[in-house]
Amino acid sequence: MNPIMTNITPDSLSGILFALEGVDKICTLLNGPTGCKFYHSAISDNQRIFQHELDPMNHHEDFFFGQPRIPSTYLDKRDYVYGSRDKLNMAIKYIEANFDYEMICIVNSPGAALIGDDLEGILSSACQHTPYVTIQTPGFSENISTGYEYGVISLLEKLSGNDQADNVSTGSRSTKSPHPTMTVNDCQDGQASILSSLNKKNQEPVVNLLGLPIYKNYYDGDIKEITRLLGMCGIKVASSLCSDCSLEDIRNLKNGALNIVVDREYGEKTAKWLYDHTGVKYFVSPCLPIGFEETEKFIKSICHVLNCSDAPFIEEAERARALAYIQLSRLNSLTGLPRGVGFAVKGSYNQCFSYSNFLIRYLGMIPRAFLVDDPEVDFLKNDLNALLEERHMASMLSKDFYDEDFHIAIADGSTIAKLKLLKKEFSGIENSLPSMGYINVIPKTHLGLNGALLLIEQILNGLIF
Amino acid sequence: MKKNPNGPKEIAIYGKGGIGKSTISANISASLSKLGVNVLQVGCDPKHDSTKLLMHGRKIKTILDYMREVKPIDYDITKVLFTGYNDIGCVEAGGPKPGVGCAGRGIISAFELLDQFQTKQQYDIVIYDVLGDVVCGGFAVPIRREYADIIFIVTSGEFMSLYAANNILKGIKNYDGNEHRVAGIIFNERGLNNESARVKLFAENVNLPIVAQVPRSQSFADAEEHNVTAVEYGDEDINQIFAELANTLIEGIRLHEAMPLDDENLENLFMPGCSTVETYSGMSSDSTSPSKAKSSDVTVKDFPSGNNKTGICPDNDSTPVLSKNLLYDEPLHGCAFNGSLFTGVHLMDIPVVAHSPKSCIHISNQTITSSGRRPLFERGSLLPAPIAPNLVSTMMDQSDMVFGGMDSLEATVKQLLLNEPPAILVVSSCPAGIIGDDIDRIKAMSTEKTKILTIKADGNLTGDYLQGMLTTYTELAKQVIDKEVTSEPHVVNIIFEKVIAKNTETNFQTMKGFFDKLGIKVNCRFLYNTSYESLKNFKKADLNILAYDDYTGKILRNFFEKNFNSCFSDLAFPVGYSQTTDWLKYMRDLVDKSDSDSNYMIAGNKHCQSIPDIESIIDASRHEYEVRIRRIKPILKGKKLMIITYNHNLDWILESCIDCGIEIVKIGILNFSQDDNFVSKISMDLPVEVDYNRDNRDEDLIRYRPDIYLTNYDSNLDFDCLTSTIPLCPDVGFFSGLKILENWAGLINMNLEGDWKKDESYYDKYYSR
Repeated sequence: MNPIMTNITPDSLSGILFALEGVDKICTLLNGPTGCKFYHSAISDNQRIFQHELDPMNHHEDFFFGQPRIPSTYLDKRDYVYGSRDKLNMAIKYIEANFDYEMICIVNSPGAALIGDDLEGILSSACQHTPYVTIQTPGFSENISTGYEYGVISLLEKLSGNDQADNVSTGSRSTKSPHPTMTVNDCQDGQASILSSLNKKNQEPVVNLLGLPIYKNYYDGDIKEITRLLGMCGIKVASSLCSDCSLEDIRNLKNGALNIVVDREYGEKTAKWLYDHTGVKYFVSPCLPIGFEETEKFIKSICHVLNCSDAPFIEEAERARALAYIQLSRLNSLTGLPRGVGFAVKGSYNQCFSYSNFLIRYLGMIPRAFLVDDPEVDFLKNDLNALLEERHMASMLSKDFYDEDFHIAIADGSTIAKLKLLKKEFSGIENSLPSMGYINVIPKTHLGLNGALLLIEQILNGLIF
Repeated sequence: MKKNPNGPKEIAIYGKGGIGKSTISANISASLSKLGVNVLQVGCDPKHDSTKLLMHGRKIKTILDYMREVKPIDYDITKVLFTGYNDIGCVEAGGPKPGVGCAGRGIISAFELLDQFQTKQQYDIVIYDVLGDVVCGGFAVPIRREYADIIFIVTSGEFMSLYAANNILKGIKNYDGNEHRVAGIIFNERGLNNESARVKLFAENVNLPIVAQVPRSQSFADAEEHNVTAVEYGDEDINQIFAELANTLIEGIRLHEAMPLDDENLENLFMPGCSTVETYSGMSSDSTSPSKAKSSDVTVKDFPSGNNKTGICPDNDSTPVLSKNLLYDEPLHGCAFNGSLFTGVHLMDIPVVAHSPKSCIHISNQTITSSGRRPLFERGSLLPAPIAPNLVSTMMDQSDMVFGGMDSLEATVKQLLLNEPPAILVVSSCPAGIIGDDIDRIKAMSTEKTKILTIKADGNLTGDYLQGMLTTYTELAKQVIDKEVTSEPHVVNIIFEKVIAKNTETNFQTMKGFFDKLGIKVNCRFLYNTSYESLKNFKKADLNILAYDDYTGKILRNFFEKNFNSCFSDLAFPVGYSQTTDWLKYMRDLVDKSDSDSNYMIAGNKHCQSIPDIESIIDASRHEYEVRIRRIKPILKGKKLMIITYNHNLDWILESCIDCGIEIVKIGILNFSQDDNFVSKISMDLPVEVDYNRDNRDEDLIRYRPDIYLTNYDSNLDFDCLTSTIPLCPDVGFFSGLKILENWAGLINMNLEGDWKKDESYYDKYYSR
């Protein structure tokens, strides 16, 4: 592999924009050049469909540039010298006159952040009747999850009337009080334990999901599956914060019995903030609920905390395992597969651990290489090491992802394409954006029981036999 | 003094705000002019009063105010260049109001305008009067090595003034390393106690001479009251001081290395209450103090040429290459950084370094790779550049934004040099441009095996996506093409294949089929899936062929003709029946002529292989075209066609429409960021409306009631007609237009619509946001 083909991931600017774009009736106005706008607008509209047709003539040229989402002030050289006040005033005026947004969120691009315009001062006079949030500094090369939680918390602060966000740089927040430890301590030995009981004043088993940004390739399928499984247990999911939710959903977060952090990279800080400001306790999934065992731990733990019966879910899990078993058994009897099949994973430590845990333990597959995105976010690093060490596979973490041979690669579409370019013989399973191009009409997921079944289906169909 | 043919000597005068730089600058300019030197004074302070005394009190229009009001295409340097006392040229950069925008960025923009018009070349000496401290990269522009040859630092004995002077030396040191550009200190007296000793002590400790001591004199105030310089006012003593300095400059002045003190040493020396000046006089021998002036200090004589000045094309055509957005001052579509990366990655054997935060390269990488992923997904096409672009980023972080990102860039380039690629291309983003990182400095890291190439895209500071492409095309050509390479017979370059179009490779294969038949070899595909070596040997081709003869294609043709004496085919890649027929005949004639005339295009030895009968290819295609037209004409004849499109060349489809008897009722040409010139060779009158107002579309549909509506995006209109899409980049070859018409005929004949269109209300009912 060409050594200079590096691992390029989105950063905090994308995280902030996609956090805000997950909320209905919000206008995310990018104070920056169109170069920062087009991509984010396209992804936003592709993930949360806003228009029937892709006809640029349906959208105003100035500010929207033929796209339905994330208008921008199209800053140019002159604006960098003289400031962006005029463009912002024009954009706000146009947006307020032509749309009925419930909130406008202004996000500086990296370049705009450098010129130091007083966004708060400009917006306080420009916004006539729409509440607004300003994000002065989008962060420079900070990771996407940091930006995502910064965007979410900025919005929460505005809605809570505690609008201290504007001058806080990304990643610098701190919690205000000690937090209850609500995580499942150890997902590997099945000893799920919740260390604190919940506030009993709210008897309705209504929960909210955290940590499922719209940038995740299967975010809508993920929400549907977790909602389905919890629903079997009589637990209602009210909303998924900043992913297909409304401002009203956010205002109602305080009424939930529990906040469930599905992906801790994208939700743990937010859950702590919500606990500090609303008193709603939270449950942090120690890893992604990928595979039968982790899904069962995940649902059972929540049922335990909420004092709900998990019996209907248990039966559903058994049925799912049965479906998987019969296909695996038939293939295995003929070929011995999938045991021993090599696989590789690209993703965060959380993804690398969660996928590997399922593929190694349940399917008996062998990890051949990993490519870790944003390795500074190392929640599951030790767990991944431990998982590999117990099977004498620790060396796989240091293998060159592009040099190794494997039959299954779980990665984003761009990485799968690069591996194809290298003439590797493998089957790619997408776990992140960007996609290779497959259009999902039916929402899909790799989480929960349906996710485990889809993964097994994709793996079985990717094998050579 | 005679004007230096290699350009003026450039002198930067720095110092703390309010220390008297403008007064001193103006008096130096005045004295030089009295000695016959042709001087330009450039004020670099947003308060724009540097040249006030030279202009006898008149405040002049600043460059930045002018640039704010006038479109780039209308720039006229005479509107901001004024003549003051003794014919001194006077320019003020200007800047935003205090507390707004980025004044440093403003200075960079002003300097770009001066470079564009080569204003400085008209003068012997340019004096930059620069605001206060080195507060950011923008204000440091005048001390970059491509600008100032000589630097003076103005200071008084106050601590803050000395502190500023020391900071300026740090800024210079940052740019220069061990180079020698500092002429010395101009001591502007404030009349403080012990002031001379303090300035002398500072000068000794930073190893600089005090080249002039300007007394605190009432003459300056009197002169200012009369809106003139003290030199013009006629004070003999003051005149003498500046005359001596001017003479020294002309005769040659010794230059020194910038050797600033660290903050601790500076404070120990000068902070009040610590000690007396005398106490410190013996500390110059302290090991932490800078060493004495080295024998290697250099003397500048007779104003030799400085470093190679930046410019569009100093040794050739200096006309700026502007995208349509810039030319017409339109909102910028995309950024030059992205356009530059998209183009640069097609030099496939060199790494492209994005000097940017992670977000910039992520966006570019997604844009580039999206055009590679889909073809791979659809039909297994492996396009190397779009699938695996050789992109690297310096990942500029907060620290880089505050302290400058050159260290990060150097570290990245150093790492890449280990692989010894033939070249490394560095492209700058908005943040890099705003903080004033000078990526050209990185060229000094070139090695025998690896040449460092730079594109100062500065994000969108230099323009839109198309501007980035244009700059990259032209800059890479200038930096890489070997002009000494001689041409070979029957070899062509392909210019401007579109990097984002999905049919670029299939179009090339079609054209290659034609080239093979004509016995022509392709040398460099400029720039698509090509190599550094093929670009370097660009001149090997004797003929160049445009893939697209649009706005960009025309600019590139003009550029290569002017700068490389390149010969171009009159015809670009052909689309549609007539164009393809004409193109084949034209190329056949060229090849035939080259075989009989060694001075003609595609010149060389006698063509070694026989050219097949092009006429028979054309005849066979004509026959097929006519048969297929006859097949669909009964269905399409008399149908009314309305076209609303971004395409600026439609002949390839219009001719087939006319051949089928279709009635063309309306052609609306939309404003397109990448083209501005609708062209047609069709002799009949066409109902064309250029710059079509998109808001009129629905009304026109009702007015013209077309049977077929052709547009770039198939919208589900509330109008009963066949809607069809037209590709922005159509396929080359005989049958491009015909294929689309055959599709229309099929749909009309079979009455295919699709009942799914009736389900829109369900989407709105259940999923609409």
